[in-house]
Amino acid sequence: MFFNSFDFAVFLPIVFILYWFVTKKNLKVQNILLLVASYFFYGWWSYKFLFLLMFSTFLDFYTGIKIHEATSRNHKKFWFWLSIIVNLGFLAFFKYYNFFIDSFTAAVSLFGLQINVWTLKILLPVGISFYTFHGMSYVIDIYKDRIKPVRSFVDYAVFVSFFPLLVAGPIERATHLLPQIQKKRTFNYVLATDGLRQIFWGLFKKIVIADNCAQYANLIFHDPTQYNAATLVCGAVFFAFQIYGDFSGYSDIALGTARLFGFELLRNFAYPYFSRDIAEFWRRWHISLSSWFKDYIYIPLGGSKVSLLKRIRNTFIIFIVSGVWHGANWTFVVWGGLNALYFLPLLLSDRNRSNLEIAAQGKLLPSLKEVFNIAVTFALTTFAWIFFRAASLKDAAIYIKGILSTSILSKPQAFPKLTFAFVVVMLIAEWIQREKTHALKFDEQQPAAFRWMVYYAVIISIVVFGYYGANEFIYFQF
Amino acid sequence: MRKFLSKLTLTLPVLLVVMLVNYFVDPANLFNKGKYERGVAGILSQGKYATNVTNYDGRLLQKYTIELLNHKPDVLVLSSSRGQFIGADMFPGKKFFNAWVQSAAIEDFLAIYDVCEQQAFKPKEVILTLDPRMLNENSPHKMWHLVSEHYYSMLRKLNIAYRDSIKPDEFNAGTVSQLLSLSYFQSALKNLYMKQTSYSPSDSLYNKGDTRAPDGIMSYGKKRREVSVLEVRKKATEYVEDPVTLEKNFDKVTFDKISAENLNTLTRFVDYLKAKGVKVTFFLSPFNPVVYDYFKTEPSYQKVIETEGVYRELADKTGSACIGSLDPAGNQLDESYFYDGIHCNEACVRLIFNKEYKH
Repeated sequence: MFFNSFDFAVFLPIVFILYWFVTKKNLKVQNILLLVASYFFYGWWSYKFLFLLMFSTFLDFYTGIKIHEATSRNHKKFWFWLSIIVNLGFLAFFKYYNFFIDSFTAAVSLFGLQINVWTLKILLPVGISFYTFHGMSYVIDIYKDRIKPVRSFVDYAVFVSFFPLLVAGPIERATHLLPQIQKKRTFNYVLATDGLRQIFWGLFKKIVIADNCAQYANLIFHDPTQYNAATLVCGAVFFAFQIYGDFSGYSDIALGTARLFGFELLRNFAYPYFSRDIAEFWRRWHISLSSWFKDYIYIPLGGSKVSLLKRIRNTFIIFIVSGVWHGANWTFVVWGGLNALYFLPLLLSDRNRSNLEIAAQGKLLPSLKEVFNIAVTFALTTFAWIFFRAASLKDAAIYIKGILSTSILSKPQAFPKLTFAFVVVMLIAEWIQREKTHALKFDEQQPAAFRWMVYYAVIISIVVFGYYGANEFIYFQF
Repeated sequence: MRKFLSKLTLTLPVLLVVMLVNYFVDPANLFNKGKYERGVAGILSQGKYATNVTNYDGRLLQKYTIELLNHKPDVLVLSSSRGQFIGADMFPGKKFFNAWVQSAAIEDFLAIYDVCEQQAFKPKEVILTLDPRMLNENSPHKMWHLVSEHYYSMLRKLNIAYRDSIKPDEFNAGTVSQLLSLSYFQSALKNLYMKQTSYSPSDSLYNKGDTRAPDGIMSYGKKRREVSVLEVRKKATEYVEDPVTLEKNFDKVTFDKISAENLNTLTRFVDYLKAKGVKVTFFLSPFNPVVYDYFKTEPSYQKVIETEGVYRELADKTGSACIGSLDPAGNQLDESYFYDGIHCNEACVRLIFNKEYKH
C-alpha cells in the first residue's frame, strides 16, 4: 500500500478511528491493533513476504533475549552473530545475489574464461533494507549492553513493522521508539494537527514536485544521446528535486502519520539542499541512515579518533557501504565513492563540522558566500545523482559526456515550466520555514485565515496539479 | 479530539467539489452510459463525421453504429486501436466497415461479429488485427462486459462451452470510485478549461478534436496528429518506463504464458468465418521501434515477441493471409510512422496494406 494511494486514504482513517475510539483504553490491545494494521499494510503489497518480515522479527526478538541471558561471552557472541548473519544473509540473497553473480562472471570473463552460473528471478521484498536495519540495531544495542531486550513480542514487532516507517524508514532506534510503544498514549491535539500538516506537505512534495519532475527526468535519462547539454543539465537538476520530493515527501508523510497516533519518529530530512558543504548535506539528507552508519560502522571502526589515514579509510567505507545499501549496482558504489571524495577536502582541512546550524540562521536572506556555497554543494550532489539515477556506469558516462559539450550554452530542448514554478514555490516555502521541522509548521500565533489559506493552497495544488499516474516511491526499491 | 475532527471537516469542501465536478462534468461519460454513444452513432449513420468525440465507450459506439449502418459491408475489420486507421479508401469499390474497439480482446471480436450477424451482415472479407495481449493467459480485461450478451451468443454459435457469464456492469464500484478520483477531476477541469464542447457533426475527417468517420475509423485531433518525432519518442519512453501503462496494455508486467483457451477460441472463430466462405486476413500492427526493442531485450516480454509466430502459424493452419509484423524493422518503419509507443499512423497502415494486402 502506498501513501499516495486511494487504498491508504481509506486505510488510515479506519485505523485512526479504531486506535483512538475503540482500543485506546488498553495499551496492549492498541499495540496489537497497530501490529495487525502494519501487517495488513505490508501484506497488501505482498502477503508472501509478510512471512519473511515475521521471521526476521521473531529472529531478532528471540536472539535479543538470548544475547541478554547468555551466561558466557561465547554464547553471547553465538546468538549475536546468528542474528547478524541471518539478517545480512537475507539482505544479500534478496538484494545482492544476482549482482554478485553478474559481477563475478564479468570479472572472470576479463581473464578470457566463460562460466555458466545461475542467476535467479528474485523479487526484492519491499522495505527489507529498512526493517533489517531496525532489527540489527536492536540486536547490536543489546549485545553492546546499551539496552535490555523487550519481553513483549507485540511491542517489539510494532517497533520493527510500525506501518508509517515499515517500507522506507526512517530507520528507528530501539532506544527512541520502543519506550513510546511501551508507554500509554493519549491523543495530543497539537501533535496530531502538526502531523496532518506534515502529511499534506509530504503529499505536495511527492505528488506535485517529485512525480511531475519524474516525467521530465525519466524522459531525459532514458536516452540522453537525443538531448543537448543544457537539457541534460536540466534533466539532472529535475532528478535532484524528484528524489528529494520523493523521499523527503515520503518521510514527511511517515512522520506525520506517526504523529496522528501519538508517536514521534526520528527526523529524516532537514532541508539538505540548503547545505553549504557536503558534510552538512549528509547531516541533513536521510539522517536516520547516516546516523545508523555513523553509530554502527564509522564509530566502531574508530571514527575520527584514529590516524588521518584511517579516518580517510573509514570515510570511504561508510560512503561506499551507503551506496551499496541503496542498491546492487556499481552506479551506487560510484555514487558513494564520489560523495566520499567530496567529503575528503573537508576532512583533511578539519572543516567537516563547520556548518552545524542551518544557513542564514535568524536572518531572512543568506550572504553571497552562503549562496555560492549552497550552489556549489547542490551542483556537486546533482552531479553525483547522475550515477544514482543512471541504469549503468556506461549510461552515466554517456550522460556526463553529453553535458561536457559546447551545447551547454544552448537553449534546453524541453523545459517543464509549471513544474519548475512549483519547485521554486517549494524552495521558497522551505527556506522561510527552514528553522522548523517542516514547511507547514505554523504556530497558533499566526492568523488562522493565513494558515488556512496556505493549507487550501497546498491541498488545491495537490488536487489540481498533482501527477496521478503510476509513481511509486523511489526508496521502496531499496 | 473533537476539535481535531471538527477542523478536519474544514477540508471536506475540497472533497465535495471534487465529487460534484466529477459527476456533473463527467469527462468520460461514466455516469450517463450509452446516451453519448447513441448520439455519435446517429451522426455517423447520416454519413457525416462526428468530431470532438471524447471519452466514450467504443464498444457501445460500434454496436450502435453497426445497428444504424445503412449498408452491409463486404469488408469488415475487427480490431483494437492498433488497426483503427484501416479505412474504406484502402478498399476502393467495396462496402467497408472498421469495427475496431479500444484494447480489443478476442471476446470483443466475437461480440462485435455477433452484432454484425444480428444485422444480417455477410462480409466477404474479414480483417483481424491481432495484438499480443489477446493471447496473454493472465489478461484481466473485462472491457467487453457491455457487449457480453453478444459474446456469449457467439460462443454458442462456435459450440464453445463457458462457465461464468459476465453481465453488463454499467454502474459498478469502479465507476463510483471515479467520483473521488483526482485524475478524473483533472480531466474534468481540463474539459472545463479547454471549453471542450460535446461531439458535433463535421464534413471533414481532420479536425481539432478526435473525429469518428462513418466507415468506423477515427482520426486523432490536430495536436496528436501533428505530433513531433521527439514527442513520439517521449510517449514511447514513458510507455516502457511505466509498468502500469504496460500492465494496462499487456495486462501483466510478466506476460509469461500464451493462453491456449484464447488461441482455441480464435481458431474456432477463424474456422467459423472460413466455413462461411469469408476471406480472413490477419493484420499484425507494428510497435514503435523503442517499444519493440524493449520487448526484445526484456526477458519478461519474450511472450509478446513469440505471439507473432503463433499468429503466423495460425494463419498457415487456417489458410488465412497474414500481413504486417509486430517488428517495425520488417517494413523499415522508423518513429515517424507512429503516434506513440504502440500506435502506428495512417501512413504506416497504408504502406503495409499497399504492399502486402491481396485484394
